[in-house]
Amino acid sequence: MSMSESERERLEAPLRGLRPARPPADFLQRLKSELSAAGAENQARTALEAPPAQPGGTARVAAVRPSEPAAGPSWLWLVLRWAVPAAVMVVSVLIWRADPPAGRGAGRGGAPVKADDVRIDEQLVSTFDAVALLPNGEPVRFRCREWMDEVVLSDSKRGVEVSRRVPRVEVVPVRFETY
Amino acid sequence: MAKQTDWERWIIAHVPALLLFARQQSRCEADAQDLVQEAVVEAWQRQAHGAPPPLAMVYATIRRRALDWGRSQDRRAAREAAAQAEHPECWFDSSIEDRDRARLIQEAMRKLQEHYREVITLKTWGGLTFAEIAEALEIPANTAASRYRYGLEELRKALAGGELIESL
Repeated sequence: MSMSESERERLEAPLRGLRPARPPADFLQRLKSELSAAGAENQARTALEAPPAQPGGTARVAAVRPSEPAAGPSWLWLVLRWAVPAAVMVVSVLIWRADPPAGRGAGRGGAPVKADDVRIDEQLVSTFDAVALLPNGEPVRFRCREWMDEVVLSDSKRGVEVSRRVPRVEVVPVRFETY
Repeated sequence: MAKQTDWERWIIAHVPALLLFARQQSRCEADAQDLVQEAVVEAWQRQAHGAPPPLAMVYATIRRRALDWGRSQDRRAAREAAAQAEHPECWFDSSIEDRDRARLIQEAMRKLQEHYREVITLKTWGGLTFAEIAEALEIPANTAASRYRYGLEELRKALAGGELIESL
């Protein structure tokens, strides 16, 4: 049997008479300090965002970095992670081989350079996290690292060393909850 | 950017109800506090000029995140283990004379189906309109209204065995 309006009001009155329990003091303190920190971050972000209004914009990026790539499928980042150093290596070898002996080894007899040592190195230049909001408001966190890949080919007999340094950006999406 | 006192006032006004909702959505007190903290901080960060965030959005974030966490077996196991050591939380503040009433209502609310309980909580203690409840729970406003109505009926049945219904 359904309740009448007056019955409903009689039931609602004691419910409304109750107040939700006060949150624990330590929790409130933690929340306030978190909000305070977030407020400072927000201020910094607002200062960094050059155009104040973005009409029609659907997603906002929290941490602004000039070289930050857009979100994409994780397999893409995986491929890029290995493909970029490999491409660097291949390009370096091709450039080295395509160089005419006259240009490279001028005055040294014109014989092709034979590398007897190849060194591949990578240096971590910087690391930072970026948080983006998807159009549905879901936050996505990216762990970004800037690397400098270096390939050094050397011919000790002729005293020739060819070095190629290429910057690389690695972006790995991280689940917001597990961060 | 809002002044610090703005969000402090907002916290005092709304966090008790947010925590009540989170307690109903989560398995232990620690999870409930984490849910509220993350949802509130995220909501304030989303606000472009520091205006207070819409309450419906904060409730929606709590609910969505609680569902995500509920799916995580590892987190669940860890939290349940932690919950064993915790005292049972009280949902409401009450004076000595109201303590029994608060306890009865809390027990009756626990017995309700979740979709009724969350609408009653958002309406009664969260102070949301049916339109806002609809937004928070991602349901039509008419559904929110009917769940509230049916939920109250279920609550009355649940209370019928206790003393509270006698005093109404």
